[in-house]
Amino acid sequence: MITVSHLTKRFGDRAAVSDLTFSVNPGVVTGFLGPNGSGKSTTMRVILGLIRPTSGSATINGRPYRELEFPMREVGALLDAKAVHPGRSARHHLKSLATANAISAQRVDEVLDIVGLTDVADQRAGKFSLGMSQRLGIAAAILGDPGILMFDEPINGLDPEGIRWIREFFQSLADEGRAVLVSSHLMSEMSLVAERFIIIGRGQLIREGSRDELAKASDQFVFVRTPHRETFKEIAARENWAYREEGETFVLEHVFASEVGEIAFAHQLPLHELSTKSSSLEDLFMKLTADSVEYVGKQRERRKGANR
Amino acid sequence: MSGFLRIFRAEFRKFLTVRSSIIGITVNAALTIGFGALICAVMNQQYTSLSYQERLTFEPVIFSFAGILFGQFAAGVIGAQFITSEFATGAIHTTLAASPRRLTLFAAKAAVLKVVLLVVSAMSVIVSFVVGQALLNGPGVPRAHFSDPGVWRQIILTILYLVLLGLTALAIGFLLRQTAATISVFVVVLLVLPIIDVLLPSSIRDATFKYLPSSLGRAMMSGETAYIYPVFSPWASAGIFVAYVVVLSAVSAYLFQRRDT
Ligand SMILES: Nc1ncnc2c1ncn2[C@@H]1O[C@H](COP(=O)(O)OP(=O)(O)OP(=O)(O)O)[C@@H](O)[C@H]1O
Ligand SMILES: [Mg+2]
Repeated sequence: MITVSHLTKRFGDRAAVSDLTFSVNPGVVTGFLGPNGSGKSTTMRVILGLIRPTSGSATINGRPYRELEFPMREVGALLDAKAVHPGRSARHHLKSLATANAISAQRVDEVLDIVGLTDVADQRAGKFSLGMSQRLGIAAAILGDPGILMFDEPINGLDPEGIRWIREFFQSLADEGRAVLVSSHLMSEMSLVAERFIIIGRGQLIREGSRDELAKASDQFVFVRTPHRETFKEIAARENWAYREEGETFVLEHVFASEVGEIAFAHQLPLHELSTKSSSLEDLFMKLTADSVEYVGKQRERRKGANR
Repeated sequence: MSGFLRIFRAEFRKFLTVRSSIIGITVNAALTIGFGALICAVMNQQYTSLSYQERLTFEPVIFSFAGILFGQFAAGVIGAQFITSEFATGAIHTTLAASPRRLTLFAAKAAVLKVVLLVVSAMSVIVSFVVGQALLNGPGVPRAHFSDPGVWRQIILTILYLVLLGLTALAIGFLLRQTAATISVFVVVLLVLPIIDVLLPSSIRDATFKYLPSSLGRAMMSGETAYIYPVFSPWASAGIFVAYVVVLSAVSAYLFQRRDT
């Protein structure tokens, strides 16, 4: 289990992560979501002991990563697929990692086979395509057969075939009882992969929950069409309904379709359409993170201005 | 197996499995031996035209070690690249994920470099000596033998000098993290500092010159302590250089442990 507790990381006077608390549990794929620059990679680097937190902590099964004797047998991570010496072959790369963690040479052959790199195992890693590099990174992550896995934007740059492979792969890791944390800045990528979500913005936790919990929090919209538009507007004003117009259609929020139907009936207002649609997880994500995205945009502008 | 030994073996494998280190070692040996041989051949041929003074200070061992001039930079490049190439490619993140105990990692890398440079330098220094002395075969040309007093000390301290230079570059590399910057600093210390020092007033020069790494190296290689400017004895020079490397490595390892990456 990964436990992040009141984690804060400042770079200079800017907090990349502030007071972030969450945990990643075994048996499910957890999506770690946030817009660009929201602190996902920073958090993962702290978990791996690559950078020191300003305050708070991140632990693996209760211990800081830097204290683990055989870290790759507890946590497998893929943060940057290109973080490999380009002059070393895939096999030698994996063997050196195996040696450092007392993992057998036979396991190296096994993982090469699992990710489908056996045929190119003796080629220099610098010659690999992005997809092959991702696979090598995944091979390194699962080398120690760890109970916890962490992937930073693993879907970036994969072709549709690769995306499907990796989705099924994450699911199978979770089904084997492992804790799997996968980051992304796109809910569309994650909504099919993850079962639990941790959503951050500006380095702070915005929302945490299972797919169902988030779906409940998503907004319901009621769509109404009627030939008597002015009458409907009058009723809406009287009832205090918030609505917007999309062409012929009125889109209402914070009201049930049943209420709208009954009140329309009471006013003998003919309706041509009365329907309900819930917003997608993607819409929810956009709405939740809208503020932090805007903030980042402003920051960039300000920085650009300062450079001039 | 203890943690250190595991990381040592992993780092050893890493060193041997990139082509650049093998090329570095080969170039190092070829230049060291080749240039020493060239100088000895020239000296052998020109001996009869040397002045009385030149003949008096003729040091056959030093001539066969002329290739160390190149070898010292090769040792620096090998030491620097061993760590800076990891920072340049981002591979350091993978390394640290596999070996998160940083002091152990630093010590393991230093140990691998020590072993590699010890073996490579011992080979190239001894071959340089044998080849060089064999080439100093003209009539009346002075020539050294393994059995001559001090010759083994010269050989051993020359090997040690090269190992220490590699460790210096490694420690600088851990601090600066960039290949170009590390090698620049290394070259400045070895080549530029002595030039600047020689320009200083003689009182300052004579007090400081002997502390420069290049002077310590020259003293470690020399058969006698007499040199253009005052230097320490060979063993004292070796001791001072070891102390430099210990302090520099301690600072570098401490900061590596403290800093983000
Ligand atoms: N080494 C660093 N020095 C200074 N600022 C940094 C450093 N690393 C990250 N940051 C800043 O911290 C913030 C969070 O960055 P981080 O890379 O963690 O975001 P992210 O969520 O991974 O973004 P993305 O989706 O673009 O990968 C950014 O504003 C970034 O500029
Ligand atoms: Mg990132």
